[in-house]
Amino acid sequence: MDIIWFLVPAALMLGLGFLGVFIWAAKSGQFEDLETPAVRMLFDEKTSEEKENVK
Amino acid sequence: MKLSNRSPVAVVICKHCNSLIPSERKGEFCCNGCESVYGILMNAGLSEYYQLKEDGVCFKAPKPIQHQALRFEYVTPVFKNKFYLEGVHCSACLWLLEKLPQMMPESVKTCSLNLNTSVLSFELLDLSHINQVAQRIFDWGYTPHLISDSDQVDLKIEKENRKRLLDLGIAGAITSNVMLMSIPLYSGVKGNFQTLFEVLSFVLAIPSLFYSGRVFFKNVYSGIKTKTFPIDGPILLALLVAFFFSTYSLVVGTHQLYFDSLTALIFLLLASRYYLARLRQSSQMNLGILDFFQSKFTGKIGDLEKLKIDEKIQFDGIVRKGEGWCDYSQFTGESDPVRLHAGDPVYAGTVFLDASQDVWVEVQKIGNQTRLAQLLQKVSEIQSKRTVTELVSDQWSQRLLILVTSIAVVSLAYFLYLGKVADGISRILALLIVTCPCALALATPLVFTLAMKSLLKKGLLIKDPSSLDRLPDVEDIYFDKTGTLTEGRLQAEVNLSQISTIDQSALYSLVRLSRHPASRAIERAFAEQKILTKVIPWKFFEEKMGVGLFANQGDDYSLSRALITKSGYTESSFSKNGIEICSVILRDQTRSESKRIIKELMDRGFEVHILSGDHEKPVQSLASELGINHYYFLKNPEEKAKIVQGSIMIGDGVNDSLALSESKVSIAVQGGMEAAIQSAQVYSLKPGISLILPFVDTARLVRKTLRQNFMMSTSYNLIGAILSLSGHMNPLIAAVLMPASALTVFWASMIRFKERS
Repeated sequence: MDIIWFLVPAALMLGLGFLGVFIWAAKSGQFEDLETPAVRMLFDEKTSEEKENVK
Repeated sequence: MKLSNRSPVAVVICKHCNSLIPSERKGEFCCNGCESVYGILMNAGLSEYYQLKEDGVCFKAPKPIQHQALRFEYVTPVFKNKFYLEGVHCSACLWLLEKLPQMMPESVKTCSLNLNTSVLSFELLDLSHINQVAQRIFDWGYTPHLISDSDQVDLKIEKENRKRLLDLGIAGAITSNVMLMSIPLYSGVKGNFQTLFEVLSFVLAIPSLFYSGRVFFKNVYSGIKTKTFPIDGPILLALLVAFFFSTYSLVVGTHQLYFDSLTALIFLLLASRYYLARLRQSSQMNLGILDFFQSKFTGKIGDLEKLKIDEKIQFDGIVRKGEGWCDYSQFTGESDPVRLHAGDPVYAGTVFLDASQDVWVEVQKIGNQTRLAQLLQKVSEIQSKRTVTELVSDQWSQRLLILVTSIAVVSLAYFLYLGKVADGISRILALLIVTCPCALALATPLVFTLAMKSLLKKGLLIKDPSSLDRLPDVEDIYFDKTGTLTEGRLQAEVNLSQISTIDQSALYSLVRLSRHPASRAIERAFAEQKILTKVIPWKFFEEKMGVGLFANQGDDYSLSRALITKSGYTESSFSKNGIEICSVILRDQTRSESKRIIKELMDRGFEVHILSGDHEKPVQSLASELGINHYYFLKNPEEKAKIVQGSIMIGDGVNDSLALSESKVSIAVQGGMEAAIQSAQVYSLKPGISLILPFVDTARLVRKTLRQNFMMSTSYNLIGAILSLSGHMNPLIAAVLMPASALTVFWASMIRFKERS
């Protein structure tokens, strides 16, 4: 049972880590616009060859 | 490239904006604006835009581009800026606009568009390049508006949302950990481990209560400052009792801990409030009344601007040079145009009509400093004040709060007297939590916001939301006649084809020079009867106010002032060399929708009356036309005000202002916003009475919904109170049930309004 003395702080640290990630995400504004990124990822980036073809 | 293969005959929609091409235009574009944007995009190698637009789904209809020359003179002290863009409609726009850094590598470092709000955030490389960026965006067919510091209201909301979200996240993380700690405690762990978990949950509860929960302290503090009983009072009391009692138990070792209930309650409360706040913002922000009138003006204070004919003025200023006519009806309700001289003020929102010479105006106030913007600001301020404080705090929730708190204190004293401290604390915690009237107090403003939002969409500006609350108690509706039930616009009855061609052109040439309503009516008659005439260049023309129009070109022509005939209509006579050619009857047409709406109102059980200052004849004939049995004529404003007390008054914001302010519910359908906002509780942005029905229906729906919410939360609270006082409810369950009940009340209200729209 002594393992609990290690597990509990480890669990807390892990939780704290995720909380830190959440705080960072919220502060950098990732929860503000939930719609546009979903659309933005659908655009294909053109390779440089294709770009030249267009020209 | 796909598009150009189609034959030009088959293409009837604009290549750029997909709107129909007017028949008189040749080519593939609906307007020059769209054509030039198309050219610009093609030249820049951005033809993919059209491909994306074809593939994607547009969520707003694109609009043809109005390409008037705009110059941008923005000045910015910072690199990071935001534009509000007009004309953003779909994912192709997103693709195009985010090409900015690529297209202007020397000016723009990064940029990103929010499709939801149409706001483009971008970072400049050179502060002086902002106007080039604006110009480029404008060339692409969007109109940019710089969001300056002074109107960054949205930014404030954004910051607050971020704070709320952080509080919520932290509270959530703590709650889940405390819950985990509680499992061994509930399953009966003893010894060192028990102490470990107890101490840990105590440590975790501290930031939950004092950091995430600081909003409760704040609310209670501001409630005490304004001398009302704060809604969060019982909740804060419960939180503090739970915290200090648990801490005390921890110290003395009685193992009566409520840290799990405490943190869960904080988390669930914050979550439900965050959700509600977002809900209300989404209904409020998008309607942002000011957006309706958002100024397109890009000049600065002190500039001299030339007024364009028939265009809405975008700023407040003073005429420096020239003379002209201006339509002030937006403010005064007076449809007759006003003569502008040097030194006269002009206001944003008014329409410049006509000038024989150029009129130059010095710009004095722009954007949200203009009179119009301030006026609208006032409305939205009154709105928010009325809904939140008057409607909520004055109602029973105040009394309920005090009642619950005193029951809690009395029963706590009773249990202390009995010596069953632990049991008493548990029951009182459950009671305080479960009976919190938050659901009611927060759902009421939501109901009003939803109602006002749906009405504003239709075109009703609600100044006083409580009018919605009062309407279901009223049965009598009084309508003003002129401009309300009737068009308020004269209609000329004359058969123009009966008079000779020369006289036709003489009459037309006379009236086109005058701004008098009767002249306008006759001019319209020419258009309606499809009579084309030549314009005679008068040698002499004079408009004598109150007498008529006089002109000479070989013959003397006159159009004499309108006289009131016995039938109640006005009549004017058109003569040549003193001999009458024809007479023109001018009458006020009944609005086409009046009859239907009156009937619908009667079907809904309202008693409809006409209240007019006009003569008996016209009022009587209108009443019989519309099927109204009760009518009042020749009433002066004081008499009108007396009659409508305790009833609904629908009328003109200017002429009926006294009656409007005396009535129980008042709706101004005409007469300029400024006067209407002062006297009436509701202002219809559309002329005519067509919006009365949605108003009545929405008011009844609000009443129903409020009643439903009250029933729901009262029965819930009653059952909860009995269960917790009799010791059948654990504080933890109460902490879960309370926000859950609040959400069911919100949802129930939302569903009612969703069903409708």
